Amino acid sequence: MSDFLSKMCCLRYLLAFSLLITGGQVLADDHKIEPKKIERIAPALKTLARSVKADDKSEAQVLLRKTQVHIDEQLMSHATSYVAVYINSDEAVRDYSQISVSFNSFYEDIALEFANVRTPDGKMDSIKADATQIQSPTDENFYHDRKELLFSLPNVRKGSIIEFQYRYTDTKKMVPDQWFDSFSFHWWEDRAAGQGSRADAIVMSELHITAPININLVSSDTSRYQISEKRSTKGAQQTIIWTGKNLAKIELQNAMTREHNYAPYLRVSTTAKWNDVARWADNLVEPHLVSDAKLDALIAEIKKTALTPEAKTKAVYRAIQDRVRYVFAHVGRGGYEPHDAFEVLKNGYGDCKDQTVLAVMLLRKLGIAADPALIITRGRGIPDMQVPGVSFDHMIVHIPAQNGLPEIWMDTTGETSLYPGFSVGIEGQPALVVNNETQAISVLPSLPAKDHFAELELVFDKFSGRDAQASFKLHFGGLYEQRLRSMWQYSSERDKYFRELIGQIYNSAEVTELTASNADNLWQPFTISGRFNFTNVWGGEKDPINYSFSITQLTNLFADLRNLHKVQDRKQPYVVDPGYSLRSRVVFTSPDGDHHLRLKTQGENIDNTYYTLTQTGKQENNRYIVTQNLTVKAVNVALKDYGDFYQKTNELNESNDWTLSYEYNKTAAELIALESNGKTDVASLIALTKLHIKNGAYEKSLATAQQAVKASPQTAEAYYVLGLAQGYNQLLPESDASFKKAEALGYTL
Amino acid sequence: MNFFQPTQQKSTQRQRPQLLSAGLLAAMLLVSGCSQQPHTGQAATTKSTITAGASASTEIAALEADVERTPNNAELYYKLGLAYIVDAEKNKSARSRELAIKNFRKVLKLVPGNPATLKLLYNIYYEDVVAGNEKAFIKASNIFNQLSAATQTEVNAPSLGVFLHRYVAQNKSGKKNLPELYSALLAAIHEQPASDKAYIQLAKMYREGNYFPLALATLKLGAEQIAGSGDLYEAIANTYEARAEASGCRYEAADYVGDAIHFYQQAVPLAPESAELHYALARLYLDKNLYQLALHEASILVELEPTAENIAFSAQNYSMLGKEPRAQQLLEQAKAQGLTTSDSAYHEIYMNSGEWMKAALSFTDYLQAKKKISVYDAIKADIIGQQADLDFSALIQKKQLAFNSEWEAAVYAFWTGKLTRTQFGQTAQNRCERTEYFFYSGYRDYRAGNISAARKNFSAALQQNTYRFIERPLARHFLTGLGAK
Repeated sequence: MSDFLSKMCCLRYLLAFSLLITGGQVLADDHKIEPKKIERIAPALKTLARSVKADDKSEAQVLLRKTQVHIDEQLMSHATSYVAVYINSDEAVRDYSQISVSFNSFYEDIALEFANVRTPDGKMDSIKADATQIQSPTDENFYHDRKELLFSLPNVRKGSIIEFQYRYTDTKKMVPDQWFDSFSFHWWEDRAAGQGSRADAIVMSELHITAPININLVSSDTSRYQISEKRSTKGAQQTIIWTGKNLAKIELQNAMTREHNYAPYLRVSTTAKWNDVARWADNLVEPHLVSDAKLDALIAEIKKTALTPEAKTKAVYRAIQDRVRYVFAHVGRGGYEPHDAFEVLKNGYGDCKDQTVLAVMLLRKLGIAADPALIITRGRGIPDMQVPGVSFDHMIVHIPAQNGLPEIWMDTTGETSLYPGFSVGIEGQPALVVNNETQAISVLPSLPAKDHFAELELVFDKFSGRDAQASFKLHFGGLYEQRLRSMWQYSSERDKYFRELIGQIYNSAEVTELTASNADNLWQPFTISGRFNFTNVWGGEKDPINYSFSITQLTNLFADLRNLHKVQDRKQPYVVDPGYSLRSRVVFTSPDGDHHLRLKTQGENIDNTYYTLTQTGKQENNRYIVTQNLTVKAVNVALKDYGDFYQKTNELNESNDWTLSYEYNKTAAELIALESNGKTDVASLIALTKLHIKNGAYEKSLATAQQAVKASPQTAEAYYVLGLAQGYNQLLPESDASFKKAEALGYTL
Repeated sequence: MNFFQPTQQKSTQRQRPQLLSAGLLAAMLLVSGCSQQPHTGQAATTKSTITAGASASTEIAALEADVERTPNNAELYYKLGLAYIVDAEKNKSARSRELAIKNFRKVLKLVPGNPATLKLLYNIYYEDVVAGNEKAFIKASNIFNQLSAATQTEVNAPSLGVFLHRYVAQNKSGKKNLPELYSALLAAIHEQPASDKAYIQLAKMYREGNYFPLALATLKLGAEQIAGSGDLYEAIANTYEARAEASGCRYEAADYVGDAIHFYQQAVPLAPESAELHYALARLYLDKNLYQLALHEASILVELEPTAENIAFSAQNYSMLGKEPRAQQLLEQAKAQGLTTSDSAYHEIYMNSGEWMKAALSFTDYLQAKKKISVYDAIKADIIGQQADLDFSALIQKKQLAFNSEWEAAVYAFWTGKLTRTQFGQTAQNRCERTEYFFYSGYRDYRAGNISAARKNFSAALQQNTYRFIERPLARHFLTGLGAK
């Protein structure tokens, strides 16, 4: 059964574990396995092993995965599930030696019926009586009803075949008068030591659902997965069988799509209407929208100061942030029913549905239409929502557009998050607005790439001895604001952590000052500012000071573009979701007036399907200002295009740095002095001509040399510099004549 | 006017440094390793690894595997880049060249500014620039600008590569476009003001176009920028010398000769082992009749480079000054060093001393070694033949006679009786030409038995003070033979 309201589950793949069904007795207490009562739903393992030719090249192969579900007239169900796996690698031995099956103990029971290992030499070894247990998952510090059936298989070796069968039994109805569930055709197995999950190739996967003929069962389309569907009836029972053969191993890689279309997946329900689910949820919530004197007082207090819809909405957000601490605790409640609104305020804590009920209560009392909304968070991915079911794991507040107020999706559960608490965790995810009118699933809005940003302002502003300093300020938006604010709030050694983190921008520098702003501010984005100290970077006086900056200094910190799979290793489409922007404004300053800019290399602009990088540089008095704006576009790169994406990413990583130096330049200093003094005497013009020639400004040199000759036609040196300037402007006969004139006037050549 | 002068063979014996090193690969392999690499490794290790016996493909495969294992090890990328560049050169593989660039760029990402890698990468791009790859110019410039000032002086500026490409292309097509070449060199000067190469090349081109003042001004501009460049001083001196020569008679441009001496002297302390400088000074001191200094410089030349040609040069100097025993002694030394009888020093020294039969023998070898002969060779054949009572006419007729100037044509016309003495005299415009006019007129008088006229004309030839003309010792020889009056 899918976990409900298990907030922000980290691995979307866990959804696949939440398959199946109900039934059986929990074994935890007596650990007794009674073979006589067990009906085996698969052939004998020996027979199965003979009938299937194992793939010697695979690490592991699921020979048979079979589930039989029986639904009765009361829409209560029990299910038996059988799995047989051929183990063909040491890694698979580790991963399959211990099996866990999760279930919701509030609604269902689970029982392991048998578990055996067929060793490579054909001997059978059965699970030991003390090798099973029911436990709460240890990876979350929340109070909830999700538990795991955990058992260890004996003597698993390379070449073994393991098999096990377990049984779920419904003990309570989640939604009265409805039945629904979701199924994966692969067997998802936790890897050892918490290293994710694996879904090995399947020889055959079967799902049987048997139900009274009068029950209407709707299911999602599995034809795209090459899963066949066969319906039959026998007497008063109908049976639907879905069969998948030779299903490929699922290669799990980073940056996969949120949609669950990479693995065969099925949803089955007794209703095709989301309204049925919305009304059920509304019936759970509405009775708890009740007030008491304390809550009424709070409403009155807000009314006094908040006059506009926007002000009222913000006041509600603040009130909950200030008064109700988020606690994930629905043990014994099944995860669906909230506390009364006044009780949440009185307790001073609550989970997402508790906070939502309080917020909706407050908003409605303040005259603002608002409803709860059930959400599937990003951690759960995006399942196929064509067939209704209850696979939501979060609840927030939906405020429809009204009276000048735009539509708002408000999530109060973040610890002092920026109003309205809308985060990347829910962006673009499916939502069910909880009221009697809702007919369809909504999709939460997605922010554009420009709103998910990290922006660096860096100013080199101090020079002391051989050291230089730069001040920096980092601004954030969207996912960066949310994550960095959260990291600041929860890091145990946050100062040290953030110094090391930001120090990655310039590995050679030390972060000497660090200040965070707005970490607890509900209305202003989180920012970080401070100073870098660069030691021994300048020889002082007439030595040049060299600067460089690259967009990769931002991408290395705020993106992950360096660890892409090589083209041949990528097995899944690559998804950038959401898109984001990295920006910088870097001010390189001259240490003094006699050091002048020498721009060595400039960052290049890039515009392709995946990236837009715009860079500018401009000189301003004694400083050079570089701006960079990189947009990493939200893209879903098909596998056939991954090579192109990989190449374009490498091009971005390898693109030119900005490198420049401020060099002591006597010529330039003198040139500036001469040009600015406005003198037009022949000596100044000759000096100016020489400086232009030194600087390679030959056209300018010709102009000033001609002025020099005009200013003083009898000055030999004026003709000399004119000869030079003419020569360097390709006027060779004229140059020769000018030199002759210079010699005639006494210049010694 | 280089006839009869014993300097001809010297002009080609020492080559100017080339702008493009032929051994680019070798140069690249000689650079030091990654000095800023986080994984410290010795440069020597890098080199020995690359040059070890393993084949390039084996080496590359091993390094690729190493890189795969430790993807942040800059030294491995550096080695891999080197291995690819070796492979690229060996197999003319563009792909290996690309991979070399990629790996060097990776090094720079891991250790930004690594000098050895920047230099290697620059040399690759520079080679592309020389090959005419326009896109490579921007890449080369980008890398060049990241090189330290010291490293920049060790390589050629990007625009020098452009110059070389254009120069070769123009030579190949036969379509000269000098402004295009000047522009590239001016750009190179701007890119690399601390290097003398572009100044010297640009001045050389101006000099070849007879724009001597511009050439000198360019070189002096370079000398202002670059303190202590012996090559620049030498180029200035060369230019003064060429300017003196271009005036028609260097003995009438004594100031330029003096300037040339001054700048050669400036160059000597900066390149004390340069024999070429002392050779030039020896010539110029002789031109100025500072013969003790000239002989001293020649002795230094022989001390620095005791080759047969240099010893013969010294012998000729003594011979021209009438110091026959010393000249003969040195000639013997030159012979011992391998001087062949076809060398002009042989017959000229014997001519100066009046040993005509010996002169005739070596002159025969000299003639036989030549395909083309000058007007002065033809005249020498007559004089030696007449003095030794031999006939070179059969040998001379087989040779192609080359005229290098109108003056040479006039000399030959007078010698063969197609020009009168008066007409010949009117053609002589400077001391150099008058030296020849008086000598050949005197010799005709001498042969005609008109002793008084001969004596007068030989004396007039000596009075022109064209100290390095062979006509001078010959005039002195015939005058001595005629007896003083």
